[in-house]
Amino acid sequence: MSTAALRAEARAWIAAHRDAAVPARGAHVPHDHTPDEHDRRWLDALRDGRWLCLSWPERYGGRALSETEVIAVNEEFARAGVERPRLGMSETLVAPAILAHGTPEQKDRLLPRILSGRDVYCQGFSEPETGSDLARLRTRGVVEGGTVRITGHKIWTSYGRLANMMFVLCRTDPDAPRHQGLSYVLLPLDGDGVDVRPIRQITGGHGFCEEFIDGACAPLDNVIGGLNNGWRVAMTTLGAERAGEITSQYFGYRREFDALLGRLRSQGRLADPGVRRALAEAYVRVLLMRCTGRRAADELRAGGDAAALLAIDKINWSEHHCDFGALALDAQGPAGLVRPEGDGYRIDAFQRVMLESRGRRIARGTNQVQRNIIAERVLGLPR
Amino acid sequence: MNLAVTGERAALREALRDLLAASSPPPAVLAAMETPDGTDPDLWASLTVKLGLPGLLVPEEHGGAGLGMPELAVVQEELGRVLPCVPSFSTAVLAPLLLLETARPEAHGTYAHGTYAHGPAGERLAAIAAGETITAVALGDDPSRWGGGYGDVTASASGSLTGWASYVLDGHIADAVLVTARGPDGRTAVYEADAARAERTTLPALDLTRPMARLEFRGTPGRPVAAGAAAGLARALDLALVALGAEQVGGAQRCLDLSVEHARTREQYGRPIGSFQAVKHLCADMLRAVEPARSAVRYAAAAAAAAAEPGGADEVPELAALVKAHCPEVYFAAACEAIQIHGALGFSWEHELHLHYKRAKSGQLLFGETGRHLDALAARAGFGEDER
Repeated sequence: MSTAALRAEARAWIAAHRDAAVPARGAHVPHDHTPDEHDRRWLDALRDGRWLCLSWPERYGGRALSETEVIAVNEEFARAGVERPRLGMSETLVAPAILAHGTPEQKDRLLPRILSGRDVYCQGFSEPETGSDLARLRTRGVVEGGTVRITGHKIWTSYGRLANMMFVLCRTDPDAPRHQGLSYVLLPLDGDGVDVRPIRQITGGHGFCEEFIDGACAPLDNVIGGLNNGWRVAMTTLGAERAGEITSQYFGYRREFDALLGRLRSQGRLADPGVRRALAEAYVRVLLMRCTGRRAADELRAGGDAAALLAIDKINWSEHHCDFGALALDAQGPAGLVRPEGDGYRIDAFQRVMLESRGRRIARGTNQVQRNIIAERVLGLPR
Repeated sequence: MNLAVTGERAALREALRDLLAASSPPPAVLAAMETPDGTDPDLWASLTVKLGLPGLLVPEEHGGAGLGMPELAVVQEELGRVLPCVPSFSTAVLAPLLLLETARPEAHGTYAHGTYAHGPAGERLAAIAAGETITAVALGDDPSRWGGGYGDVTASASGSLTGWASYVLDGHIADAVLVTARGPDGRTAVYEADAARAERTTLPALDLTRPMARLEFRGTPGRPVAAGAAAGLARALDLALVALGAEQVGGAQRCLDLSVEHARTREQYGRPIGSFQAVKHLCADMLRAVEPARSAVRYAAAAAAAAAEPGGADEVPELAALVKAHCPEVYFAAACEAIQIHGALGFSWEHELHLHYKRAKSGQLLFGETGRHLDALAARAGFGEDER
């Protein structure tokens, strides 16, 4: 199918289902967001329309779309102002690992369960003493017959409350060099030996958890990429969906910027030249995302090298978001001092950005680790 | 619209890069910039004969290559890496843009890419393409959005020019000068004058690779090129900002390349300094600034080409403000960090880095400082000064 035909199909489908659609949010779904009935119905509609997991092979329910085609679909949804949710880490992290390293049996068994929503994954990588230096993790996995028995302590687990499965990185060969004795295991969280405890976050919500794992069992069939090969699996490149983000993320940041402009206008704050100047600086960064997204799409289409653009993307959007969140409150002046009325620690959308953006500067490889990666892998500086 | 550089544009980039590597290495630039004219005439002749550089934007009807902003951006990025001492920004960029945008048939679209210009403008374009002239642009009716200070020239009904213009790039060696002036009807007009008939003073420029002059006009005869030219002038200057931005991206990339090379080879404490995170992070931050700036320039250049098509939306004013508000900042920061990474070597006259440091600063100051373009961007996006 040509990209134009695909775009036309997406537009027609969105128009036909607009009544059920969840309107596009800001740049990110709130960290502790729990899908409601509206979200679930929209997800069902997208599933029926085959607008989820677009890059997957058709055999597993995808459309086998290329990077360029995923970009086209994302742009159509973004332009229509309609959410096209991802299935969390199940789609963005686990599925690419299964597709790259899983056996045919694992793909047939596990991928449909992700697409249907029966399995929802959270990430079991970080431990109390293992953050950026992931390869030093201590959680043990012992093979006993047809199972892997896992013992350890995982923490800072996003979506831990919503997940029924965890992709765990654990040490299955304590004598091997530290990158070589690890396995990537899909562990059911609903069995014995797992105690999931929510952790209250900077926002007051419970966007992540910690898990005390004491002899919990996963079938050996749930080891992806083979025993002691977990490091390679964990480092799987994130595939076509990742390139799809860089080209359409502009729309979300633009919506947030416009929303801030609207609030400041209603507060009469735009009369302040200092506020306008600071807003213009943020607007520059938003426009740069648009230009860079467009360029990344063109470079990929031309078969060119977009590695540098993809490598710098995470730092750039997360740094922008931190700056934008701070600006959003600064620009409002004293109005930023007060949260919305109501029970608990309620926060408005801008207070949420100011708080949550700090986490995205740390997660997915801190921005300092990202700089090391850029310097070593893109610029070729010595380790 | 295609923001990837492929095919003929990539070939143009390679040809120019090769020529500059052979003919304008850093020692040659350092030597040429301290000659009385601060220019390398042999290099300019070579760029003219071998690559047709001055005629790049000139329509084929007038003997040029008839190329557009995307190709100009490619060329500017290469020139920005090397900072060759040639009058290219005046003669190959400013003058053709001004002529094409102010003196073209009314029927043509928003941007004059590929169309011919009539009368004196056509003759001047032909002379530029033929490599027969160095033509400067004097902003005697300067854009208020830049804060003024570039000049004040009025023209009489007979075309006689009175007033002054400053910061005229390559004005000290130009044979012809295109002067924007207030015409007898009070509107912006463009005149062509014999540069030798203005009183000119070479200015002691901070950036020796960007020589400039001040011109005094005391009844200097001017040949009318375009009347009622305010809108065309604004378009020409917006495009010039994009061309300037491309040059700044090239300069910033050069600062990054030099830094990475130095960090890989220079050893301290028994290790290459590039193995230290403090140095790595400076280099990574340069890259993550340069690439989006390059995207903005390419997008703006492509938008100019797209807007020249019938029915194309004109995004150029906003994108030109974006480019001028951002690229000079990226370039200056890259030059600062490159000097830091090079240590005392980067502080020495013999090393090329001070050329970039000075060019970056001159690029921040020229044609409206960063804050003015941020304000222009805000106004374009609907949160400008009228919001009170």
